[in-house]
Amino acid sequence: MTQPAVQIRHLTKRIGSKTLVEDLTFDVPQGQVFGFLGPNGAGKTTTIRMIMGLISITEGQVLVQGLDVSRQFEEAMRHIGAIVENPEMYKFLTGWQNLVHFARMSQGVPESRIREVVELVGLEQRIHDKVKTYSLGMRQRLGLAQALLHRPSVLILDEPTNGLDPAGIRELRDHLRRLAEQEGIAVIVSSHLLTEMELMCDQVAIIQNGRLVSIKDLREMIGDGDELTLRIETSRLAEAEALLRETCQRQVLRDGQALSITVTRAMIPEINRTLVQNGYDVYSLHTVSQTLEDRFLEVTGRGPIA
Amino acid sequence: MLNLVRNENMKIYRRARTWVFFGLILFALLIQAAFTLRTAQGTEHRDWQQEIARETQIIEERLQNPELQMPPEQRREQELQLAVNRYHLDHEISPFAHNAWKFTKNSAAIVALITLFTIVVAGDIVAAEFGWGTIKLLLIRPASRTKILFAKYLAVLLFAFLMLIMLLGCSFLIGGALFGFAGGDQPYLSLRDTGITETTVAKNALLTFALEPVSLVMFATVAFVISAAFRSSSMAIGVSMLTMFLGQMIVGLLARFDWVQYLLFANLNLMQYFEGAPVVPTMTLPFSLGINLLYFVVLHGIGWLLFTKRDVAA
Ligand SMILES: Nc1ncnc2c1ncn2[C@@H]1O[C@H](COP(=O)(O)OP(=O)(O)OP(=O)(O)O)[C@@H](O)[C@H]1O
Ligand SMILES: [Mg+2]
Repeated sequence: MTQPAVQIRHLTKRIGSKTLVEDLTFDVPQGQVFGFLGPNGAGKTTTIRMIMGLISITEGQVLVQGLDVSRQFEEAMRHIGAIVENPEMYKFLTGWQNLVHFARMSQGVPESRIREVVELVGLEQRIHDKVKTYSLGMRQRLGLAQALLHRPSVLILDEPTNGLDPAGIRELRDHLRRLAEQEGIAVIVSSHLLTEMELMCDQVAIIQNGRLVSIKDLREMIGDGDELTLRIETSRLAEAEALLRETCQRQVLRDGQALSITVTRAMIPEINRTLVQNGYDVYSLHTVSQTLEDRFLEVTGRGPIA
Repeated sequence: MLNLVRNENMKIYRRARTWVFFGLILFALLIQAAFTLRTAQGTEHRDWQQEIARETQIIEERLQNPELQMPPEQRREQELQLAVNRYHLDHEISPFAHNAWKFTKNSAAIVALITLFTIVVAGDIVAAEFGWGTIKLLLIRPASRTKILFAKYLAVLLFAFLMLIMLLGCSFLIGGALFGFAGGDQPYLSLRDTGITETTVAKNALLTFALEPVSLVMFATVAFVISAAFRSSSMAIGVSMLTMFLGQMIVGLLARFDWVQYLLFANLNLMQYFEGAPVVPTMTLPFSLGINLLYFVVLHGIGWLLFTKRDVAA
């Protein structure tokens, strides 16, 4: 078996009497997109900062391609590209100059590679403009470009979809999947958005209050016999609710202007038929992968931020 | 390492402010040239020999007058003036005449401006990365924090020396173009507690420019270390400028205490060993260099420790 791209062992961060991250242990396999999920203040950014050597590790160890980031910092950093929170760049320089700057800090990044990366993130048109004239989305793209310059085998992105438009998010998702599948890069993406994670991750680690709550393999989970949460928009909501409760023998929740019901995949056509036959106008009917969302809310609750 | 310094240079010289600094130094030089030209014109038509002869006579009378109880310091100053005047009369060289060397020597005052600009650059170079948030991208590269800090300090020194060389070169050229390049071999007399010492105008100008960088480097270091340790540009620049303006004053106020010699500010002006008297009579040039070195090492030690060990949470 090949070694995991990133191994996190008993990682703990304490500042004063406050424990920000506690005893985190997990592996990120090579060539997978790994989601790092948690509500605001869960400790995602803190963990990423420790992986990148930006803050000291109170206890525990981080190995990147087998290299200890606190003891073999420079060697370990050769393998990682990252964006930590917002990708702030030198605003008085052009996008190109920013990339030249970061390229010089790694070994063996020729100009042709810079051009290649610019093309990859689709910034050819504006790359010679000053960064201060960039939109947030363009800065995100430039941020991704600087993270990829030195062909890292581990890519760490802290909330990379921040500020991207829907097309941009989709594009990023495709990029990341391609990087993982075709180039074998291990990608760690943090987010507090579930749906985003579902669409691009192979595995998701859920953390809350600095502690690992669960690790789920998403590819495995979305199968035929799995329970799904179905969201239904229909006319006469109250009556429909009663009807569904009776026919399905399951709990039905009112979720704004829609109903929410947990069913197996096989039950969905039957529900649709029942509604239509009883004269309801069905406006929409769609599933939300139940395991992750339930898991997330169940473990993290909807309570205030700790 | 070379690449790291190139990066820092790019970040210094791609900023408009840097070119404003260079422009201001040239501007200061031009103002100096204009003033020098005006005073030169004012004295051109006067009979300097007669003027100097009269002044010399007055000094001689004063020195010989036993009723006038001159303090020894003042007496020495008068003796120096006398020697200078006699030299000019004997060699028929007008003391009001200018040349490239004298102009260069006078332009050393502009080094204060360079120090100011260097403080701004040094105080900003680490702290600004925190302010911009770029520090996070800078410190996650295969380059240790020590190397990055060192590259930044080198870039600051390069910037300071570039300005210094520009000042030296431009003032010599401007002075030469306006007043001629000759006259570097004229003697330059200065007063020491040991008596009057003699050197040439050219040597004196070069000596001044050789010694000024010491205080320049020290102020750059103070600003740089505060910048690296506390990550605040305004604090680094503010504190350094304050010490630059108040340092000499504090030394002046405390001059009667012996321990003042261990303060950095008392050791920054190395010209005190070539003209006039040192702050504390027992101080020597090697002593001052040693004190400067000590502060240099301790300051960098503190800056390095805080920069490399502290968490980056910007
Ligand atoms: N320097 C610090 N000193 C004390 N507490 C801190 C410090 N930095 C962060 N924290 C706390 O640590 C916790 C985790 O913060 P972190 O930024 O890692 O969360 P996050 O999961 O990235 O959240 P978000 O989704 O909002 O980005 C928060 O409660 C935060 O207040
Ligand atoms: Mg965060």
